[in-house]
Amino acid sequence: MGGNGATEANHAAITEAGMKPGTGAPFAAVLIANRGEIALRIARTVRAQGTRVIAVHHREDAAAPFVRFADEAVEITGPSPVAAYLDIGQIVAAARATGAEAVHPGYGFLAENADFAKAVEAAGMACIGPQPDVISLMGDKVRARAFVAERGFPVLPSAIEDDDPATFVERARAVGAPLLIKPAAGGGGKGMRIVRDLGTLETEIERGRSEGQRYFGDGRLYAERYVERPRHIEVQVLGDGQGGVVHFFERECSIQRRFQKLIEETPSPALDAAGRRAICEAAAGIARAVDYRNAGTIEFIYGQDGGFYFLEMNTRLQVEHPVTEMITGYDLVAEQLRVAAGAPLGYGQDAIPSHGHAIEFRLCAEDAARDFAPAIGDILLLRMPEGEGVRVDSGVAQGGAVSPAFDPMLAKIIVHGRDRTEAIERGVRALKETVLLGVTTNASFLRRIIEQPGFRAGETHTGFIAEHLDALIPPPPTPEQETLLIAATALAEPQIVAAAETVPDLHAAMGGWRNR
Amino acid sequence: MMDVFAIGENAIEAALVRREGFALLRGGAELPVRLEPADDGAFMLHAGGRTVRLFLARCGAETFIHMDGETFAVGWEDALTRLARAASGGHADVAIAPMPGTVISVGVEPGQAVARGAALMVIESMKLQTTISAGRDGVVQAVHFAADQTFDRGAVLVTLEAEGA
Repeated sequence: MGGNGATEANHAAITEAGMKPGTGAPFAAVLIANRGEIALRIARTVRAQGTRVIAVHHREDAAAPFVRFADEAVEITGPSPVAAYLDIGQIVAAARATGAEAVHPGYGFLAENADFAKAVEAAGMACIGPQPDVISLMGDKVRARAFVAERGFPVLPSAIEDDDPATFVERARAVGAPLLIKPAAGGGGKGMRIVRDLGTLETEIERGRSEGQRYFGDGRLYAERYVERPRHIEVQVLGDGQGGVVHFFERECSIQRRFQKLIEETPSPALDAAGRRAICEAAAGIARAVDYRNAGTIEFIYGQDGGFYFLEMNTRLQVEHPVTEMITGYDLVAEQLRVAAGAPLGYGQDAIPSHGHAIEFRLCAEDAARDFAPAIGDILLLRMPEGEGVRVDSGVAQGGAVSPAFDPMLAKIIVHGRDRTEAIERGVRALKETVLLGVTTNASFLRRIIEQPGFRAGETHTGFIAEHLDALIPPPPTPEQETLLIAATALAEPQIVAAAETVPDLHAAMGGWRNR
Repeated sequence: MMDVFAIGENAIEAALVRREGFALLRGGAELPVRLEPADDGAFMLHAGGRTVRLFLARCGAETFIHMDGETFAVGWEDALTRLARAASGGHADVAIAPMPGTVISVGVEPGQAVARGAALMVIESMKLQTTISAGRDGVVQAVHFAADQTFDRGAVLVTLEAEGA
């Protein structure tokens, strides 16, 4: 595949910066229990340490770049391709059979599955992740939130009806307006009501209850402070499980569609130095409270007034970790492997710099003009951007197919600049240079997002895409563009060219005469 | 005779004609055009006085073009096929091969009633299997290729009985 030279160079530089001298490779062989871009990205670090790379893959991925990169690949099967990657028994068996000393679950699939972590450890291997009981605690959103609140970290003021149904209205009123009422059994925004005037609280609670009953067969409610035009800001942490915890600064991930992130950046344009320190130290404090081992991410909701509230903790490597690597120079996968092998961090907060600005774009096979419907097809031509300050973490290659079996994310394009303006300029150029023919992607949609004056001004919030949607959808080609497209199509189609060449001169002349 | 090019919802009539080189006729205007490969897999399109750099890939009757940082898909139907289709009374009477390939399996036989969208045949082109489905409700008149037979792009694979027949 073209365009990977810069990526490899970037990875090499990052790995060198991330590995502390004299540590050597933590494991002799690592099995990667994942697929796509993240499997390849993890494999590169594992390979750079001189460690054997073992891949597992479903038949559908047999020709994928991560499988071809691996030193050894084991086919796993399942009733569906996704089911194969969720099959703990097969993956642990593959790890044992290939002599793996550690298993890296990546993100998604088995990454936050305590049973998987236990099974890997019971088989005598290291699972690259936190202690299984920490996975369980943070995986239970209600327990995690209570744990964090008890230790004095900010959570959104809320009232859970189940705690004491008799006093629910009173407790909801005490949370204060604006207030979001949602069905306890809910999801996807159904039955959610925003209360701005507490005088209507009781009526709204009754309506919310009947909607919850109708949608979910469960009328129990939950009320929390509503944050208007919130930002999503999260903090990268790393712990060794031996008392050592540091943070690698924040990432802002407010640009989302369907509650999924599309663009992430660091630093957040919302934070000044004091605000940055406050949110990062809160995150490190939460990680310290569980004596966290592994790389992890603490997600916060950030209000227009500068208040921030704990949302959840992800106990794994995050999709958007590369922006953090770009500004700190650390290889987070190398750090994960080190602490999983039992090494102490060996450095403190002062060792982690923040240089410049980085932005990540998630290149997805989807049609923004059709409500982000997933797109499929063959990748006929692929040219990834390269050059200074550009990194590409890709899971696809020219000649490959995009099937509906998996997540539509194909690759991540990460840019770095001395400041946010330079990073945005590099992002615009990189997205223009991203050529993927045969499958509809969101490349130009992503570019138009960062071209919006609101984005350039740093006025991002989770409703940004919905608010600017009309300006982001690809416009139809202009008549001039149409003519160029038709000319290129005609000249590239041998049948059209042959037909034009065989038209006798007289007819050719007549055609010209007729049309003059 | 004009070919029809489909861009998005638009169907645009145009034709390539031979002059000194080639020219594109569209809407009564004539534009000299030339496409030359660049060294990195891109193409330079010379159109009138303009030169535009683009990437291009073809799949069946569809051409994908990356130009001005945007990606476009252009469909093409040649004039003869279009005439034949018009003469045969409608698109849905025949299932046409979108690309050259091999028949993997045939799911219907002559005389069989099918609903719009029903699978008629599975074909494989460029290692990709595609289901050929009925464009309308109807009765199968003929299946023109059997399993393992190969065909060219534009071949009529299955014919339905004419409507009202």
